[in-house]
Amino acid sequence: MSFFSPKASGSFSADMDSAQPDFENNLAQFEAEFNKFVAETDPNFDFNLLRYKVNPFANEIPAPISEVMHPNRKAELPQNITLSGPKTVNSSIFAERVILEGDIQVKGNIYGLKGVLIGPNCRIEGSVVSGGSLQIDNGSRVEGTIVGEEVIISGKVQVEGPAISRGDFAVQGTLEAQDLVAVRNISLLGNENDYVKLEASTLFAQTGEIEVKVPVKLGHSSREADLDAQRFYLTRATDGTFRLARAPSPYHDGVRPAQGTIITNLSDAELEKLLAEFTALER
Amino acid sequence: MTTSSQTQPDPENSSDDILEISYESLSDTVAPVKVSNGILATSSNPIQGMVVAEGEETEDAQAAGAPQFYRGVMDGSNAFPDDHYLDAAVLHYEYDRRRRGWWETRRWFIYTLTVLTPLFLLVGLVGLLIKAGIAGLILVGGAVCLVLLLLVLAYSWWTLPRVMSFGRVYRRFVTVPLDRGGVVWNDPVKAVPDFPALRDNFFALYRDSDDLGSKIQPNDDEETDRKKRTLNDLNSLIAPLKNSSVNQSSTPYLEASHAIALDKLWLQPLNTHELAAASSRTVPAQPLPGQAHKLEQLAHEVEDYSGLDELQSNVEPGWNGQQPSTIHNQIAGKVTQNLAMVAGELGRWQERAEREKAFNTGLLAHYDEAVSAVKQGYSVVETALEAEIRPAVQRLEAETAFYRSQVQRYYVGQTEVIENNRDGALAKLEQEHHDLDGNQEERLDEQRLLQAELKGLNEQRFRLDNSTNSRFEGLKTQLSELTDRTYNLPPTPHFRSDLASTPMTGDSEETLRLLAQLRADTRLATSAVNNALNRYARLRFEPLDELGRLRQQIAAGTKWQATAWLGNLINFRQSGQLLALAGEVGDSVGVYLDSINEFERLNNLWCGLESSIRELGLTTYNNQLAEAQRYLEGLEQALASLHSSLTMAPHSPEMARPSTFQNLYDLAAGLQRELDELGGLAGSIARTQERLSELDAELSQLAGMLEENTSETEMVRQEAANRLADVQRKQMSLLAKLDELKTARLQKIRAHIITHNQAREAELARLETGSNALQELGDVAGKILQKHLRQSQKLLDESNALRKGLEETIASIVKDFERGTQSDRCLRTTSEVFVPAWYFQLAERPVWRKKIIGFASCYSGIHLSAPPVNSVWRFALTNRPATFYQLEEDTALETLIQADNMEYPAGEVEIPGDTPDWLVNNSWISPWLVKLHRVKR
Repeated sequence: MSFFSPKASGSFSADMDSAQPDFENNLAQFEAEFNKFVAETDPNFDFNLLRYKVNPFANEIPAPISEVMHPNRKAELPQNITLSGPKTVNSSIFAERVILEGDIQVKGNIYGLKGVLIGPNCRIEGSVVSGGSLQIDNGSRVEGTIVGEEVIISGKVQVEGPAISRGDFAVQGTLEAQDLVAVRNISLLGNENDYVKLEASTLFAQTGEIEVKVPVKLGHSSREADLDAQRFYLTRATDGTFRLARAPSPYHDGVRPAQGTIITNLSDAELEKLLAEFTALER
Repeated sequence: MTTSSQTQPDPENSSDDILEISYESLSDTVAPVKVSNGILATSSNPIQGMVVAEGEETEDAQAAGAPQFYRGVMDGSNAFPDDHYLDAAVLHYEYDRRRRGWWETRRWFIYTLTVLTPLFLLVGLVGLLIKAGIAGLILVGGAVCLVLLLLVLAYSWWTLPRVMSFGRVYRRFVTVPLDRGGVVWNDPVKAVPDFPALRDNFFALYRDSDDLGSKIQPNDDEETDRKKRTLNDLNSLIAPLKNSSVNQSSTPYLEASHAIALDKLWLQPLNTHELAAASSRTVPAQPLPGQAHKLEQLAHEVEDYSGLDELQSNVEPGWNGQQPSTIHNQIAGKVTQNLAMVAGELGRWQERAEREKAFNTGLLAHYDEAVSAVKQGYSVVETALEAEIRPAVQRLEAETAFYRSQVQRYYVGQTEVIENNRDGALAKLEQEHHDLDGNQEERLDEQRLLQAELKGLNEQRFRLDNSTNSRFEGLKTQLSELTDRTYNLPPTPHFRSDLASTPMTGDSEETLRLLAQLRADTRLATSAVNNALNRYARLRFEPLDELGRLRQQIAAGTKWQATAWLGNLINFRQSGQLLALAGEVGDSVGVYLDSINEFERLNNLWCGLESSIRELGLTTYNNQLAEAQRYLEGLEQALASLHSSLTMAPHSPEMARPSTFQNLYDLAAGLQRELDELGGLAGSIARTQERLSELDAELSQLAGMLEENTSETEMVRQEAANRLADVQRKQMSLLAKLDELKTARLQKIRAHIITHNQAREAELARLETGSNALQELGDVAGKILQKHLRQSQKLLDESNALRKGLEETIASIVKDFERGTQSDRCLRTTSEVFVPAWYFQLAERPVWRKKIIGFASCYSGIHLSAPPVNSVWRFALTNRPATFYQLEEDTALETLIQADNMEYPAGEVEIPGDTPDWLVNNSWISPWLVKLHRVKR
């Protein structure tokens, strides 16, 4: 399959200087500039010496390999890949934007420089990494990690590796993943049948908040998290220590102002309080 | 249980009453009570009549009474009416022991010297009497021995031991009778542990830990709840223990084997005063009030506990070496088991933490996989893009290389041309330079040659000049000598009439004849002069004048001007005439000179004649005389005339010699020749100088040409260098421009790849934030779990430590109690017993240096033996004891009361002064010992 499949969108670059770009053996400008400079520098120069004969056999471009899902030429760099199923892709996909319209199986990784959209009922046998937004629709399944700037999950999606967002993470439906981490806010929304199930014992918004409207099941036992008891605000000191609290901490002395949020079944506040009491008792 | 109760006091009575009786009984006979072999005696009756009896009623009565106080008494001490006598006996006994030790080491010196001194003296005296030779020596030996004896005695006295302090102290012990099994001895110095609290804590530990272990079952509850409960349980377990400090100090129970030593003492009940006296002398100080009661309670608690133990285990309790399955051991085992279950739970937490950590590491690995997939995607794209531009880059590279080589070739050719031109010009110039150099060399050689020649010529001219000058001067001198008169003629004589005063003769004849002769001679002389005048007048002086003219001409000018006249001089032909002239003149001069002499003679003669005539008076002859005078005056005139003629004419006697002329010729000829030569030389010099100036001109011209050649060479070089630099600059500029254009072109070709790479770097950096988030998540989770684990482990460790401490403390109390129990001994009530000890402090000098020795001793008996004859010799000369009794020292008692560590008062000897006298009077000790002790004090 060629990159320029019938479905490939995008246009030829309009900002080219000429029809024949530099790397297509078009060095006339270079030669002219040099000859001009020679004439200016040394009028007596024998210009017969500067007649270069082009080797006609040196310019052959190797024939493209079939089914290449990444840009091979400069002209192809800013182009998107849009695929519609049912279809099976046996290689990794790399493009500015990757759009899988549905019912596509990819046996490799997907990377979209500016965004990835995975439609319904797709199956990705690798990781999905997006430099921009990442959206996965109902019925899709990713066997590796998903990473995106903004991650949106709609419908029921299964991820076998960790799901990481460098910005917000929004779930509208059901998500099953190994772990879920977002640098900013996490919102888990859906109807009464939806849930979020994580293999990890924690759900972590590094500097944001977690909004939960669906059940969250954590750990191997898939126990539903008690959001009243097991959702904490994390305040960190500069020396690496941290404190878990039920409410956002109003203190900022020696503590990073950015507060993360964590839902975990590793601990709860009562236990922390108990431990604090023990510490006080020992003193 | 056995009881000696012969005179058991009524329990209703106060202890004072009992003691009162005892005290009274002490005055006449000692009535102590001995507790030994299960005998309890409280009587004040004579000691040997104790009756053993059993009776519950007595026990009950005794138990109801207050605790009693006893004092340990030595066996045999009832022989003394007062304690002080016993103290004195003890003191003297110990003092005598020390004295004998002191005496043992010194007595043989004293014995020997004591024997030798009189022996030597006696033998010496006998020797003196029989006038033996060595008597004096022996006497001296005797004297030396005497002196030595005195010195040894003084030293021995000085080193005799001295008692510094002595006294009696008491050590207090408490006996507690048990409900069963006998009695236990306590040391009230040691604090009483809170046994009930310890036991309660131990049971609580058992109870709580039993609760703790049973509920923990894995996976039956949520993990957090389990953790919470576990921690809570652990905390409630140790909470009561934390406040009650576990007393690790040793128990107050004395071991039964140690307490057996007390059986050797008799017990004497004490009244209030005695109790006060004994208490004041007790070390260590007073125990806390009520401690006896506390000890009693403790003993009964432990007794009960041991009984429970016995019931539980059905094993004989005690300290027989076998580890019984005591109740505290059982409980401790159960608690350990329960705590081990907690430890297992903590192990599961640890496992969970490890699992969580591994899971988080796995997450990170997943993420890293995704990141590496992205990297791989980027690298694939980059490879494709690189492949796309490769032909263009290759062509650019090839073209650039071609241009570079062409430019280099062109400029290398240019450079070669310039260099060839330069080299040709330079070779030509060099050839010219070489030729000019040769010419210049040649000219310089010639110049040097000519200069040397000129120098020689100048020297020659100088020499010739000098020679001609000298010759010229010589010529002039000779000429002047030849032409000028160079000698003086004597002046013309004048007639004088006063020359001879003496008369010539007295004879007139003679006078006449002489007159005649005078006249004749005068005429002759006059005629000779006249002849000479005539000849001289005929002489021709022209040649001489000519010569003189020549001289004047020569002398007037320089030598060069004289050359014209030198020929005349050389060709002078009248030298013969000159010679003749000279002969004539010489003759005339000869005549003149002869005539002068003749005139002188004639004048003298005239004067003689005149005087003779005057004498003779021959006046006649006066005429003749006058005539003769006239003749003489005529001669005088002729002479004057000749003289003037000779003087007037220039002439020289040298002219008479031909060699003079010859010399003159030679000089003139030489001068002329040399002047000719000089003239020729001057010509040569002038020619040489002319040639030299020509050569100078040529050389300066050559030097100018050489300079021109050099500057031209330099110019050619400079010009070539400039042109080469120009070519180089152009080449460099072209190549630099080529590189610049190539770089720019390459950048233009690769621009999209560079942008792509930058995007990759930025993307990877952004992906790093995701990695950080994951790491922090793992960190947080790990820290939460670690915190729980750490805290729980701490609690568990603390529980274990507390359990261990409790167990050990209880076990040690029980064990000591069991060791301290004596089943076959019984005291009815809890009692305090004062055990006596005597302390000594002595100053001794074993050899020389002083040593202070302090110790305490315990004694269990004193027995009087048969006294020997009281002899000072026995005391002074033997080493036998001076005390006539035996004290039984008891090391077991000393160990019990810890006499080694006891701190007793010091500084005085607590014995009244007269007590030793009583001992002497009753034959207890030798009076000499008392005297010695007193004197030494």
